[in-house]
Parts: sequence; structure tokens; C-alpha cells
Amino acid sequence: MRCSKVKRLLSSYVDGELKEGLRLKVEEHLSSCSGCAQELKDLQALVREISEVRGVSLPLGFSTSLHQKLLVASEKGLGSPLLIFRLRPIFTASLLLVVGVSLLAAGLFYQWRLPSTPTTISHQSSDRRDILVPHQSTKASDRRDILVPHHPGVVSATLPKSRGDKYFARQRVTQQGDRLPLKAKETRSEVLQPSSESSSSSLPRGEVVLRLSLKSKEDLKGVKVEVRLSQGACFAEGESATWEEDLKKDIPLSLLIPLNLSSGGGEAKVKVCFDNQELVREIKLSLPEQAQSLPEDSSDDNPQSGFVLSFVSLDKSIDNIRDRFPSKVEFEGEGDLSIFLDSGLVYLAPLTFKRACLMPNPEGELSLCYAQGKRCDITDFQMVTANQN
Amino acid sequence: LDFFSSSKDGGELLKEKEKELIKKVKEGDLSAFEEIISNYEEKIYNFAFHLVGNEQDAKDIAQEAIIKAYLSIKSFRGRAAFSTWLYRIISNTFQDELKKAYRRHEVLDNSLPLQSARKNFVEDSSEKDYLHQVISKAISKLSPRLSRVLILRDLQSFSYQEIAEIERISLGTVKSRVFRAREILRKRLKEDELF
Repeated sequence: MRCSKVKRLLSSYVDGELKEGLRLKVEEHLSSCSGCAQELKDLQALVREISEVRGVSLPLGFSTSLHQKLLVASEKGLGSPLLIFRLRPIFTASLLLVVGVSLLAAGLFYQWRLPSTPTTISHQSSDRRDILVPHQSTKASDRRDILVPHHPGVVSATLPKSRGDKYFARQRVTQQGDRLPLKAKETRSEVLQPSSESSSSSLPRGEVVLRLSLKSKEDLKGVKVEVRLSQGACFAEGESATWEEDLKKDIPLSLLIPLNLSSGGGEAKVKVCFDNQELVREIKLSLPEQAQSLPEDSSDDNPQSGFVLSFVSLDKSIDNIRDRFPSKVEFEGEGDLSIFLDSGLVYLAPLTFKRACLMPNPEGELSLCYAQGKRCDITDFQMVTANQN
Repeated sequence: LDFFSSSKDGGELLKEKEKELIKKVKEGDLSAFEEIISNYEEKIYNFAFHLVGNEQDAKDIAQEAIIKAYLSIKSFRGRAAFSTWLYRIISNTFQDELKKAYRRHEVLDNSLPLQSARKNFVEDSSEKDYLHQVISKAISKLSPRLSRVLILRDLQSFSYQEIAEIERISLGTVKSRVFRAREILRKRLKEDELF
């Protein structure tokens, strides 16, 4: 046996991991080769030194902080498909904020839960998901969208809310007919709060948004809007929600149409009444089936698919809301999730990781946190869906 | 030296107890998990520490890995030894975390010469301590896949077979990684005239 080969085997030899035959050959060589024998001695000394490197003891408070993290983890449900979210003190304030919308958010959680068997979702997740958030603009009432790609798992979101803010999950809406003096457009939606709190609270959660904008140059007063869902929606058939609004020509009216996302969509009838006229528009709601079925206003050329999480602030007193969205977005599902920052890729969640969240700290600055509350601050960030093809 | 010894020599009784505890954990008993993990956490922390070379990161990734193990406990079906299963998750988590760290910082400070360790070296430490300090530093500067294998082998006394299962690599790959890791360490130490 040659020296070069023996030298390669010495490491395993020292560990007693050579097979009998090979071991004997090495020993035979060693007995007659002083160079290799010296090499063995050196190696043994090295291994001994390495093994004598002293261990470090657990840092103070290791078990305590671990216990707390485990508690949070177990509260969320051991091994449950729901996401695990662990808090650091810094996020407590954010949590309070989040609690404020828990009612709405709870609805969103529910609504965003996709069927566990992706039969109604025709496209399967590819190996990897990239999610981008559009760059932040700085004016109030600007709309922020997150495109949440389909996952054969759970997609959920927790959202903060201040006065006038509105969140909605949106799906592609196909419209039929064109008889209204109103233009109905489901993309580029802006949301108008219902006039009273009571009507707001009667709203179901997890909505599809339809934007109605006036074709007329005049303001229309006392317009009645009725939404009646005929099937496959949260509402029982025939149940409806009605609002009365003054339509301003410069403020588009949005309807929040409840939709059970797992039902595969349904049909809605929108009735708009004014000046003793009654205009009816049929709307079909359907789950996006193809990658192309996402909003056409998507500025990206890539065909995208999924749900859009949107944020609108109607609080005009705020000029700059760039730091207020999104508060926290969690994903679970197959495939990797990547979040890109200006500085490059910072987050790549493997399949087993299952969680990414974006949260503002009490100062309103966004952080990307991963793992357990480890975070890096974000001033500008982007999430996009990868090209599905 | 106790915690460097492989967990496999815990004895049958301990294994039975562990089995019992795992069952409890699966039923949602957190304290049972903490009881199990108390036998491992120092080892896990040391694994992390030698990998990343600093306490804060070591603590973070060790805890993250432990929590991940806790959440994955249902996937433990007893086919492999618990310690192997646990270490597989631990090692996997470390791998992911280091990847992320690498992306964040572009390059870890691999370029930092070992010589700087000598400067910071406290004078009253013995020459041995200094050597060990340099070795420790050198291990954390190996590429993570090499350092993981080396730590498992030389600091935590896992067998090649166990390492292969933990790292999900072949026995041959374990052999060559152990060999390469030691070679690099030896060269580094030689450069420093320590070996």
C-alpha cells in the first residue's frame, strides 16, 4: 500500500472505523514506514487535543428563556398545522396592536385557510415560493398588496388596524354585463368604510372587494347597494348585506363581498339603486385556477397566482404609512419561502421552517423576523411571487 | 468530559425512561420534553458554540433547534435512536441558520487570521489552554459541513455510522469529511506553529 493512500486512511484508522482487511494492511504499512508512523502519531495527538477542547457551559438563563419559548410554541399547538409564533418582549406592543384587530383577523385566518386537499386549487406548489411585497409608497390611502401564493396548507395573516384601515383578501372576480352607470372593477380596489360601525360589524370577514366607480360626472346621493350572494359564500343563500352611501365621483365605492375561499367561489348579485332606478349587476366569484387569474393590474409581467392581501389606510391625517404594512404575515405550506430585501436575499425558509413574519416594532419600523424572534430591520422590502412557470 | 460522551451509553433504563417521556411529549406534556432535553441541551449548546464561535448566536440557534425538535416530536417514530433523530434536527437547523447568516453577512469573517487569537490571549492561561482556544476558533472557521462532522466526531464522540445518519450522508462521505477537517486544522495549527 502506498503512503499517500495510507495517509488518507489514517483518520478513519485512528477512529477505529476501518474494516478489518484494510486495517491490517494499514498496520502492515505502518510497521515498515516511519514517515507514516510519524504521521499517525501527529494525527493521534491532534485528535487528542481536539477532544480535550473544553466545552462551554450553558449561558445564564438558557433554560428559562428556552422554557418561555417552548411555552409559546406549545400554546400554539404541538405539531398542529397552525403556525408557531414566539414573541420577544419588543413585539409585545405590536401584539397589542394586533389584538385590536383580532376579530377581523380571526375571520381572515379562517377565510384564508385553504382546503387541505388542494382539489379546488388546480395548481400545485412548485418547489419554491418567493413572496414579495410591493415597494412601499408614502401617501395615505395608498394601497398595499401582498400576493400570497397558493399553498396546499395554511395561509394566514395578522393585521394591525387603526381608524379607517381596512384589510381584505381578494380574489379575481369576473364580471358580467355592463348596464350600470357605474364602473365595476375588482382590481385596483380601494375600500370605503361603511358609514356606521354597526354595518361594519355586520360585515363578514374575508372579503372579495369590488370597486364601483361612477361613470357619471355628478355625485350620486343615496345610492343603495345590495349584495346578494347566491351560492358558495359565507352568507346563507338569499342573505344579503346592504349599505347606503353617497357616491362621490372621485371616491370609488367598494363592496366587501363575503366569500368562503374554500368553497370555490359563487355568484353575487349587486344591486345599485338611485333616483328610483335599480341597476343590477351579476358578479361571479371564483377561485383563481390558473396562475394568470390574478389581478390584471399586477405590474409584474410574471403570471402570478394566489391571494392578495391588501392594506388601505383611509386615515388621511397620516402622510406616511410606509411603516405600517404589513404587520405580520405568516405562511405555511410546501416549498421554500423567500423574502427579499434591497440588500439581497435575507430569508430563505425551507420546507420545514414554515414561518416567516413581518412585524412592526413599537416605533412602527418593520422587521423581518424569523426563527424565534430573531430579526433584522427592514426599511424597504419587497415580496413577490416567483414566476410559477 | 461527561457531556462529550456519546448519548448512546445512557443505558437501557435511561432509554426506557426516555421512551416513556417521549410518549408524554407527544400527548402534549411540555415538562416531559424539558426533562428529556435537559440531558442534551448542554451538548447541543456546545455543538452550536463550536460551530458559530460565539455565545449569543450559539444560544439562539441551539434554542431554535430545540424548539424545532419539540414541534417535530410527532415525527419521531422510534426507528432511529432518539439522540440520532434529535441531532438530525439540530444539525439541520444549524445548517439552515448558518446559510441564512451567510446570506446576511455575505461572507463570515473567515479572513480573520488566527493570529488575532494570540493577541487577545490572556497571558496567564497555559499554553494548552491557548492551543485549545485556537483549535476551537479554527473549528468554527471550517466550512460548516466540515465543522459539524468534526464536532460530532471529535468533541461529541459520535460514531461514523451515527454521523452518517445525523447528516444524512454516506459513510464514505463521513470518512472523507473527518479526514479533510482534520487536515485543515492541522495545517492551520502548523501555520501558527502550534503543532
